[in-house]
Amino acid sequence: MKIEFLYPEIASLFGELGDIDFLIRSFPEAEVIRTKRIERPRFLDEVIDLVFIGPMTERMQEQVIDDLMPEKDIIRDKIEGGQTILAISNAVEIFGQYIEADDGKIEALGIFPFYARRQMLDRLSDVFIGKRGDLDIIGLKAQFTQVYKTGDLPYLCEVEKGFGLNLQSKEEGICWNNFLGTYLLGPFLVSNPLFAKTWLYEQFPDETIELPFYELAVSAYWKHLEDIRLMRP
Amino acid sequence: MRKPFSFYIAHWIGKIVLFGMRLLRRTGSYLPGAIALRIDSNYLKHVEKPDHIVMVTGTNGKTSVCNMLRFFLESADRNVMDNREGSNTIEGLASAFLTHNTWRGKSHHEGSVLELDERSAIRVFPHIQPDVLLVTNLFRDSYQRNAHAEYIFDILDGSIPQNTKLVLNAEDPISGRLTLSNERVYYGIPLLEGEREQRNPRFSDLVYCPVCHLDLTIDFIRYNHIGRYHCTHCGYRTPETKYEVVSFDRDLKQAEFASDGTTNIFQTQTDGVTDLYNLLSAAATASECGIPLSAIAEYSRSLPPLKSRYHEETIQGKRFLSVLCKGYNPVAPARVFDYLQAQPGRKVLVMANGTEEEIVENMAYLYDNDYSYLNDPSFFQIFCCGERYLDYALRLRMADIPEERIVLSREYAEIPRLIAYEEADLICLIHDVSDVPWVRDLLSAIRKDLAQLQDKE
Repeated sequence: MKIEFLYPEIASLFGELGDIDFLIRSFPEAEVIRTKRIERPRFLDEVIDLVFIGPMTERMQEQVIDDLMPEKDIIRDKIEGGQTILAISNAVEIFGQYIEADDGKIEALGIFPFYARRQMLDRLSDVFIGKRGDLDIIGLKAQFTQVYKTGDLPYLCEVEKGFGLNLQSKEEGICWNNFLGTYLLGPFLVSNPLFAKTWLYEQFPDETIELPFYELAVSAYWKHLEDIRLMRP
Repeated sequence: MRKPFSFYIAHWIGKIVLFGMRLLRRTGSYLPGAIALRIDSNYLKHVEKPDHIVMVTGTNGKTSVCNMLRFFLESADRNVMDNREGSNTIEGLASAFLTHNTWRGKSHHEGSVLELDERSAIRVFPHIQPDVLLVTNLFRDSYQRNAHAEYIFDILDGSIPQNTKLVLNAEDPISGRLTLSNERVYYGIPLLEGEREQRNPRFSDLVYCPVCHLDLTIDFIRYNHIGRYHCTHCGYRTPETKYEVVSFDRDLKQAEFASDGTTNIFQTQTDGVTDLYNLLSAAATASECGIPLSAIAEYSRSLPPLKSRYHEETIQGKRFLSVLCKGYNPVAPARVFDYLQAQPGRKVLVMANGTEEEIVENMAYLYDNDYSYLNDPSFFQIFCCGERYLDYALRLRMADIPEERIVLSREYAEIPRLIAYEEADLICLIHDVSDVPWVRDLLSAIRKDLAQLQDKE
């Protein structure tokens, strides 16, 4: 088992270090690779079981797109071939068609049929509950962008509270093949132990998975879910 | 400049609202200003201001620095206005002028010390151009509102007036590069004797060279991205300081500050380096306002402690600390943990820095904060309390803190009963900015228990 954290020094802005800790603890036997922004991602050239990328500043996002653009065909092939990727917040946009920014259009890798509209003076934020089957997914969203799909693209969950890919959307996240992208920032996996368990066992059925402090995490999750339900919209 | 009639309407109505709120024993820190701005959106442009305006902004330390700075200026017989009773947003500043200016809108102050919310700069600077602006530091903070340090940097960089002189922290390579064309001075603290470096901080808001974006060479890192660097690729290096700490005697709480070839001994309030930064930045700013550093050093000896922010007392040999610490901030709690870890003895830590809004908050900050400081056997009881007590406990477990040292107490009122007073040498309560009743009650209950312990002994 190999886990690659892409650019953790710049792409973990909103508590995603919690997810990194969570994944390392969940796969105690795994080889952990932390790829710096000035390095070539390892998953482009070798088999990496799980790739994680978190949110970054907008300037850094544009630099990362520039860095990865020459590799977009490899990345597309990898994703179509079943590469497991977890992308959080604006890291998702790297894989879309383009970003419509206040000062122009930024071409992205063009892998998925969606684009993002970024408005730097309009930060959107809300707590979130979404339904994925019987499972409730919770979290917080805080972003400058809204995502608009331009084709069919499966989603992570249906919005019960908060907003989805854009303010009008009732769908949150992108879930295609083994790519999972969500705008639920912060410690997404830590905060959603039930979902994390299901997803990780689906992705890695043959691996030994030791979810850290699972009972405590589940208790915290139920309490948080109850509290968010009580909140005014 | 002739003021429009709408200004007078805004000023008078704002004053009446302020007067009414005072009658109701409310501070009137926001609403009167908001109403005045609703009536005259250029109220802050039109209102008469003191001749010399000093503003303080940044992520951490604004309020403490403003208090010190105001004290230094007043000690030098400067008649200054401030916004200490108000919020630090544009509405709070408008409320401050409603408070201090006469009914005719006149200002009788020669100077001002105004605290400014960093995100509000874009709304404030078009109306108020400070002569001197101190920027304490820039970190990620208030994720929902402020996003990240670069976002706040861009707001400040794009709005600071070109004639404003900047007082900047040399060890913050982010705020240190604000509006490079402006006149500026830097203050700094080199690595102190016996100080622990933090070369592997949990997170850093600046990793690569701010000029060429390649690897930086670290000279030292104090915490997060605060430190001194140079770049072997483009020649960038930490700027030269005009004001610098030469030595710091933590036992005597005395620091020697150097500037322009002379040194002066300052009295510090605590033995922590965060407070040293606050004092140095306030002294540097006061000096840039024309007060001799030797006089400021003298004033530092009578600087009143801000008890609501840091309070320490000893009861029967046991230290009791209450420290204000923003709850949902990814830097401030770790600074307190670092300080506490270095303190001698067995410790009890009560983390009561949740707020009334804690139900709505995400736990993102918890995972950026460095809780590894608490993974030290000297912390034998760490209380997780309030509505998010389970999330706190989970975070502590993720930092490898043994379960037996974690005390779960959702109810604040239960905490005093659970504290092992006899075994403790130091009891520390950290609390948030909000003056919430449960913290006040908790504070009194712990004091009462300690006093009873004294009586018993």
